Amino acid sequence: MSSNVLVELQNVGKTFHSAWGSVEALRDINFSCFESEFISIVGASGCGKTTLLRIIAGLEKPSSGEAFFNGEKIEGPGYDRAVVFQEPRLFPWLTVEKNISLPIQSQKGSQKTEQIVEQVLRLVEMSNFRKAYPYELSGGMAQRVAIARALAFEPKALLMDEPFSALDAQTRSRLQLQFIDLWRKTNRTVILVTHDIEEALILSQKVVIMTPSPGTIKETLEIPLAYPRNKDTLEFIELRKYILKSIL
Amino acid sequence: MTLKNHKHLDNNLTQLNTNGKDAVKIIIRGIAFPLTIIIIWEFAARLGLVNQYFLPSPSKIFDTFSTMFISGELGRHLLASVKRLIYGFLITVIFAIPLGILVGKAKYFRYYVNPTLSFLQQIPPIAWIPIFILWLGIDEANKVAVIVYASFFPVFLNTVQGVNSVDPKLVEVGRAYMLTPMKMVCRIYIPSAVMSIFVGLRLGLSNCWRALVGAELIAASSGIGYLITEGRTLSQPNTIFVAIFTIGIAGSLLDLSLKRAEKKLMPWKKDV
Ligand SMILES: Nc1ncnc2c1ncn2[C@@H]1O[C@H](COP(=O)(O)OP(=O)(O)OP(=O)(O)O)[C@@H](O)[C@H]1O
Ligand SMILES: [Mg+2]
Repeated sequence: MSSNVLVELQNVGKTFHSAWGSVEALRDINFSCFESEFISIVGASGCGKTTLLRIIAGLEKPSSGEAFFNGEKIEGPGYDRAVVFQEPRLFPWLTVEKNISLPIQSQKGSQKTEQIVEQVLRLVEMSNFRKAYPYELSGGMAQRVAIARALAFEPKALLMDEPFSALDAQTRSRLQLQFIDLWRKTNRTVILVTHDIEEALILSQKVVIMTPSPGTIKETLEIPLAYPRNKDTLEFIELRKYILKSIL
Repeated sequence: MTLKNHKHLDNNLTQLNTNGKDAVKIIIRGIAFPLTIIIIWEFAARLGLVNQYFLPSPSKIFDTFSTMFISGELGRHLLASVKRLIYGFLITVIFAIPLGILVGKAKYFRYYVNPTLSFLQQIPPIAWIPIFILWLGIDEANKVAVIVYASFFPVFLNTVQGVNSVDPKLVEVGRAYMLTPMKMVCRIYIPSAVMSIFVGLRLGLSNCWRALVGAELIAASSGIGYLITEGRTLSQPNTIFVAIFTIGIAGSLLDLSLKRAEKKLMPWKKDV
């Protein structure tokens, strides 16, 4: 294992058993992600993207194979990873700012926490809503707060499950650009699950293409384009066509 | 079924918290119907369409109310009832909530206690009064016991339910973000159980109030329920009606105050 590999999955499989039968969600997944790399995972609905992310997060144990983070076997969640779930999952009884500060308050102290909260809220354009309760937010706004909560946690790796999918096109591309900036500034590792091929191409250095039943990795594609990326270049369009074809 | 009845009332009452103009509108709407009834009733009484002995006119009832209010008689009886209610309800809260949390956390416990609870729940609290008198004497204790019996189940059951119904997705967020067990309990389990506990408290309180009046009808020398017995033995329908109206109004006010407390405690809760 190379020294700067941050995430490593070796022959990982995952089968869920339920009352009506069992589902093989992942089979024989080999995956690695270097430090400060930005990887996107794309694939059809139900192909196991969320499951893969949850294994890396330590929220799900693989049925077979092994998963490593920073050279250590993943046994559970850790301070080095933060998850943006597919749903916002904010605590309804806490205001926006309390939702963000809850996980970090005791480590960082209240002054530092205050600073971080302000900063991440500005980043997701939610500063005006810091005192609001989640029921007062739209779906997209709530999801932005969830992104802010993960950023505030300052993890080594951000694990994001379709974080921008609830946003309108304009807000989405604005936040995507800001997110790229942030990533390049902080050099944080990002693993992003998305069903939006364009989003994967705009944001990431590598695109992992998955196919369903059972979920397997079909191909890992390097995206050799420079940032910020232009959707209208020939290369971009060719890549998009190629990925679209491989997913189907 | 009681819960459903309450929902309608709540909507009327909580909307009082909204802005002034709306509040006036809501009060007017809420009062229009009873006011119409009272006016018709008054006319019917004055025109001699109903026997004054069976159904005294609203103005006569109001006279009696004023006299009883000014003499302090009404206040004394109301206070006696409310005191019992507070004792009983406090005992319930002190026992039912912690017990509910414990049982809610112990997964299989409910299979052992549920059948017994539903059996006990079917028995109207008033049916126990003779036994409670036998065990606890004729004084205050038997009435307090009835109140505890009447409110225990809703508070206990809703607490159990609250603890059980914590959203596992939120618990997972706590896990993913490395919250300490202390923070998990204080910031996730307790807040999510609180909503359900409050539903239980409000149901319990209204059960209490009704059971208490029942108990006072049977065995008491003071209290609003006793006032009804007194009115009957002295053949004073006016007194009976004053007592009945007081029961209804005091009960609504109790519920409203708990509803207000709920709003204060849980600003995150959306109005239904
Ligand atoms: N907790 C679970 N219990 C049983 N089956 C599960 C569970 N979680 C996921 N699965 C199954 O695993 C498969 C992959 O699910 P997963 O959520 O990883 O898909 P996904 O790629 O994230 O899909 P989407 O794009 O719709 O979010 C599905 O067939 C699903 O039914
Ligand atoms: Mg998913």
